[in-house]
Amino acid sequence: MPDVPAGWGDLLAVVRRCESGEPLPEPEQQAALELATAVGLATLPGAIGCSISLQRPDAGFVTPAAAGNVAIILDDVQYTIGDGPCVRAARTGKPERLDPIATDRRWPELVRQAADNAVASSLSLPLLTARAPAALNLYGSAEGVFGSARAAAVAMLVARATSALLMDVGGRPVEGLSTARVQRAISERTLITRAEGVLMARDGISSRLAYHRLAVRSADESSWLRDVAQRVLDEAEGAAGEDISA
Amino acid sequence: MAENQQEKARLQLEAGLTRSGLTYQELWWRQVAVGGDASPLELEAYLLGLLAIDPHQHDVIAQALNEHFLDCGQDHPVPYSERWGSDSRGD
Repeated sequence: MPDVPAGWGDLLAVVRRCESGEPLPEPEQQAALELATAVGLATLPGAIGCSISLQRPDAGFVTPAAAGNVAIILDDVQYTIGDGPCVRAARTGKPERLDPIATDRRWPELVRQAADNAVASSLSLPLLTARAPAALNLYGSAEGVFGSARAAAVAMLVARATSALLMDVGGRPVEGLSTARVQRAISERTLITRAEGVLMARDGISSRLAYHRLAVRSADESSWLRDVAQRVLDEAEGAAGEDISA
Repeated sequence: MAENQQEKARLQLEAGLTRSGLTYQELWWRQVAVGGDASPLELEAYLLGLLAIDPHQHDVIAQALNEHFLDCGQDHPVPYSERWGSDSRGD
């Protein structure tokens, strides 16, 4: 496999902190936004610029973080005319893909500046934030670079990570959450953790190796992991009973 | 894990996810139930090859997929990691 792209581990570690409700100090948040744009630029083949557009209280826009100078130039063009794909994505909450930019007739100044800076396509994705309308913008060196399913999935992931950084408080609730479902998951996890503990104590192994053995046994026995865990606990209880009676 | 093994592991999970028809969200829920602690974004990043996946994370996601296949009457089509020998005590 090619190396995993740099920066994702650091970015998602910061996102995890944000989603746990830990407020990021301003300098760290700024650094994290810059990391998000750098990761977007580095991960998407053909991207030559990545930026964040954030609406100010006076309804104008600013770019709080960007990677690639063309992103700053093309963002500014749109802020000056008060319209364009990044402004629209932020305001409407809908993605805006301009591909190719050259044939667009709505924003001639944007088309001209894009041509001057060798930018052929763009993708702006709305961000869900607790602050103000915002968008993640990607600028491409060729037509179609943001058109594949993978590019769309990666761009969405960068946008969701960036949204979490701008969320300020605890991130978005997880969809599909219900008390019954959470209780089932917790009870299943608890059973598995107890079985891991039994194997760790019995065989002197790490929790990860214990988990691996449980998983392999579940395949050997064509069973769900919770059932294997229950059998391990039952076996341990039976063995303990034999020890006592011996 | 060597890079080619990592990629093989990722492709196995990706193929399993495609075959399962589960959404990322659904898979995330399932991996929580079987002991995983990846966030939704981390899970998706693993499957897109954007984050390195270690053998434990592989096993957890493989387990989550295999539990879905068991629910559908199929038996563990997603392989587990091969990092540890059967007598290894390492982590």
